[in-house]
Amino acid sequence: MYTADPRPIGTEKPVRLLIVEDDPGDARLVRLALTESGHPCEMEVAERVSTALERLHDSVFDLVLLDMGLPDSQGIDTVSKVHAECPNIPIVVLTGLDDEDIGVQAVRIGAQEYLVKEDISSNLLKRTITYAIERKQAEEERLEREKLQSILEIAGAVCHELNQPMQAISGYSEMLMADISKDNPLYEDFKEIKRQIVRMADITKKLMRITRYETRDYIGGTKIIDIDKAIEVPKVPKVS
Amino acid sequence: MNNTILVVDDEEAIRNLLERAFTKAGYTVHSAESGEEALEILKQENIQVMFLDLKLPGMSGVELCTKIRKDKPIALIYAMTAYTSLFELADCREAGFDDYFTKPFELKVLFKAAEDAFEKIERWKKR
Repeated sequence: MYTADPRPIGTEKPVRLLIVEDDPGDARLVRLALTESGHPCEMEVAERVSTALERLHDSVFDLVLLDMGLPDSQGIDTVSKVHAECPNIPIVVLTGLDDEDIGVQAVRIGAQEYLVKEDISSNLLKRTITYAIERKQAEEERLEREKLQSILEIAGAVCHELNQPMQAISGYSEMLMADISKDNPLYEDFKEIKRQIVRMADITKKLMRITRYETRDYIGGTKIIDIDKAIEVPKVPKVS
Repeated sequence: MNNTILVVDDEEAIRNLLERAFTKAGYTVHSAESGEEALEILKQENIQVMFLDLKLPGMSGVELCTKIRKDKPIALIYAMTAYTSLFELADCREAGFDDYFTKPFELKVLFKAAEDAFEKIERWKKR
């Protein structure tokens, strides 16, 4: 799936913007403001939400500047449609002076930011776009981390559950082996069952080692280990 | 000589397994499926060697060990666990477990632990 490019405006690669705006005057204003900001941008304009969705499907964009009043979609619904199509791409909503409330609502349902068209300046636009891309990037990374963490936690829990029946299988085999003589042809069969359990246990142990460290220590940045506890020798009473 | 062992595990298959295995090895075995049941047994019986599963319904194995340890400073208490982490092990030591066994373990490992445990208790009694 496509993820927005992390590089903010000002780095070498131009930011690819999709301006979804049906008013040619407003579209021109945005283009002008962006050109004035002096940062390399590749801009494309779509006048309808249907065209925007097609473009988002076919091409790669770093951000969508979205007017909510379009010929084929009105209000908050416009944001929902675009966000549903491309949940990974940051959206900055363009609103009029009278509908700031809708801007706030748009942010609630997934837009990164809203801009009142009448207030747009080069600097504000540049800053908003940079922050929207960076914030979205951070949000995506956090979601990825959380997803990975849940998967690892599930894997750990599954290992835990598997170790219980493995204990029973291995234990009962061991008991049966103790009951029969080594010459009994079944002895080797039970031994094989035990051998296979050891193999499985090795797999779950390795997997648990990964899940443990990944979920509890490494993910999320700093690795936290209580050295004293980690290297502490078991307190076995001294016997003389 | 008292050769009684307490086994606490909520999984019936494991409980039965250990009960049968230890009985066959010559020990008297009491078993419980929860910490609460284990404490009831300990009120009635003088048991100094026990194997506790860490993940129990209600009171955890760590909590159970902490409670037992208060009254039985010289008992040998072993943890059985299907999932070990450094954090869990640190908790185990703090709770007063003498050692732990990660499932799946071999029965002979537990037999050896039980044998050593009773030997230690005998030696401590002589001192």
